[in-house]
Amino acid sequence: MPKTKQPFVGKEKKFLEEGVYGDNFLVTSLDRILSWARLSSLWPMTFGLACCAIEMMATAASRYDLDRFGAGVMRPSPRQTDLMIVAGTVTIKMAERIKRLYDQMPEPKYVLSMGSCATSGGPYWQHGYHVLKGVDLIIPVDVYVTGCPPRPEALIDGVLKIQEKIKKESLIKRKMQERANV
Amino acid sequence: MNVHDKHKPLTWWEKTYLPQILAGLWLTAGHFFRNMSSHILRAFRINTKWAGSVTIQYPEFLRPFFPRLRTMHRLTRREDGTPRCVACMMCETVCPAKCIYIIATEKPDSPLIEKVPATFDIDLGLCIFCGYCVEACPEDAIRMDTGILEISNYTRNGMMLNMETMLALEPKHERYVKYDKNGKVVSEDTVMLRSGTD
Amino acid sequence: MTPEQIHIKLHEKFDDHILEFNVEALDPYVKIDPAKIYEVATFLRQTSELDFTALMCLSGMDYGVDENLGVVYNLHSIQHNHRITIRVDLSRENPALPSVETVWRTADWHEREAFDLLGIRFEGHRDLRRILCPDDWEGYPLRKDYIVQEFYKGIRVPYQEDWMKYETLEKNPERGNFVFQFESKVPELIESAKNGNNSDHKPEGSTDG
Repeated sequence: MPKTKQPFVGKEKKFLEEGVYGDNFLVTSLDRILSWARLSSLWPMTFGLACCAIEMMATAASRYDLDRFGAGVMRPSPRQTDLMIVAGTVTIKMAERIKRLYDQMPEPKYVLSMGSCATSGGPYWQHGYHVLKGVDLIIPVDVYVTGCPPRPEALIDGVLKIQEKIKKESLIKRKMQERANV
Repeated sequence: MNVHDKHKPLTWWEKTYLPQILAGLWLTAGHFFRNMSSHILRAFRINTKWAGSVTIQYPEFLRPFFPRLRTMHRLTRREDGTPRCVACMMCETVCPAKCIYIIATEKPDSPLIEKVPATFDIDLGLCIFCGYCVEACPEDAIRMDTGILEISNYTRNGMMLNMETMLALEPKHERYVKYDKNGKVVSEDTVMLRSGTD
Repeated sequence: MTPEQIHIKLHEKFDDHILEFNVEALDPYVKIDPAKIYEVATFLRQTSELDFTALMCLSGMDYGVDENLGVVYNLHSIQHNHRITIRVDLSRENPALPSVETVWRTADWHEREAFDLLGIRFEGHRDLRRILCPDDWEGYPLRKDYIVQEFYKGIRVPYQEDWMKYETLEKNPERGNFVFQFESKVPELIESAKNGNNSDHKPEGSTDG
C-alpha cells in the first residue's frame, strides 16, 4: 500500500503559518544555493519548429554562446530538461505533441516562447487556419521573447529573465506548500 | 601537378589514419592554447596579434550594428514638440501582420494639419519587424532606429507599445572612438544613428 | 513535338472525350472528360512518340465561388523534351475522378493534398487520407467558401471571439482596420483641364491657407 503523506499538524502547522521556516537564515541560504544551482544549469529542450530554430542555433554557436550561462546542453529528450524553448510557428497538429512533451518534463520546468509566431500566432493570426495563435493556449509560458526572428541578444535576454525568475523562487517554501495542501 | 597524384596508394603508416588524426588535433590544440594565452595576456593589458575567440560577452559587451537594423519603433516629433504623425493610416494598411492600431482625432487650431492620432498602439507580439511602416510613412513619423533589441516580457499584454512610450524613445547614440596604432585615443565623437533624412 | 501535334495524336484515339484545346494560353492545355483520365494517362505515358514519363505537378483548383473545381496535370517528357497540360473540370457537389497514381507514382501525395485541401476524391487511390491537416479536421480549407471551425479539441482556432467580422471585411469602429472605398476625382479634373475651365480647379470644402 503506498505511503500517504501526513499533513502538518500542531506545532509544525503553527510554524508554517507564522512563516518561521521562511524567515530562518538557514533556509534562505539553502534557498539561494539551490536557486543558484538551478539557474546556472538550465538545460534547454529546444523545440525548433521553423525559422526561429536557426537563430537558436546561432545563439548556441560560438559568437553568442549560450553555454556561458550554463544553457548549452541541448537535450532532445524532455525527460532530462528543465527549460523548453518553443521556437517557431506552432500548428494545431503539432500542438497535441507539444502538450504531451510538456507533460513529460519533470518539475520544476519553465517555458520560453521565442518569436512572434509562438507568442501570438505572428503574421498568421488573421487568416492562418491551422496555426495555433500563441503557444500559451496550451502550455503555461514564463517568458515571451518577440522578434521575427529575435536576434541572439534578445534570446539571451529572455534566458536571463528566466534566471531572474528562478532567483526569486524558493524550492523549500514550495515543498512546504505542497505538503500543506495535501 | 600530376593528376594521378590524388590516387596514390596509401603507405602502411597512412593506412592507420593516425597522421590525419594527429594533424587535426594539432590544429585544434594550437587554436586552444593560442586563444587561452591571448585572453590571459589581455587581462594583463598586453595585446597580442592573435584575434582570440570570437565570442561577444553579451550583457557586458554589445555587438556594434549598422544604423539600418530594424529595432523597436519610435515616433518622431516636429520642432515644436508635437508628433509628426497625421494618422493617415498608411502604416496600418501596409503592415503585413496588422499589428498597428490607430485612432485619429482632430487637431484643433491648425489650418494645415487636420488630424493627430489619439491612440497609436503597436502589438509587438504580432510585429514581424519588416520595416514596411517606416517605408510607407509619408511624414517620416515612425522609425525603427532605437537600437533596443531586447523585447521580452513575462506577460503577453506587456508587449503593447503605446504612443507615450514611443514618443519618449530616443534614437541610438553611437560613440565613435578613433585609436592610433599604440592604442591611444585620437578623437571621440558621439553621433546619433540615423536611418534616413533628419 | 509541338502541342498541336500532341493534340492530333490524342484526338486520333480519344475523339469525343476531348472537350477543349487551347494553344494561346501560357501552358497549352487539353481539357478532358474526367471519367477517361486513366486511359488518357496510360496512353500518354506508354506511347513511344509522346513518352510523358514525368508528371511535374498535379494541382487541385477552385475557380471561384460560383464556378467548378478542377484538377490540372503538368506533364513533361524527358526523352523528347516536350510538355503538355491536361485539365479536368469537376462539379462542386461531387468532385470525383479516377486516380492516376498507378501511372505516375508521384501522384500519390499530390492527390492526397488535393483531397485534403479541396475535397476532390480520387477513386482507386490506395491510401486516400489527409496529409497536411489533422485527420479529424472539418472542412476543406482551400475552397473559396471555407469558413474555419471555431474549436478543435478544445483549442480555439481563430484568434478572437468575434472573428467573423474580419472574415467579411467589415469596418470595426474599435480596431480601425478598414477597407478604403473611395471614388477617384482624377478623371473629372483631367476633363475639366482639357475643356479649359480654370475656374473649377479647387475641390469643394478647402479652406484658405
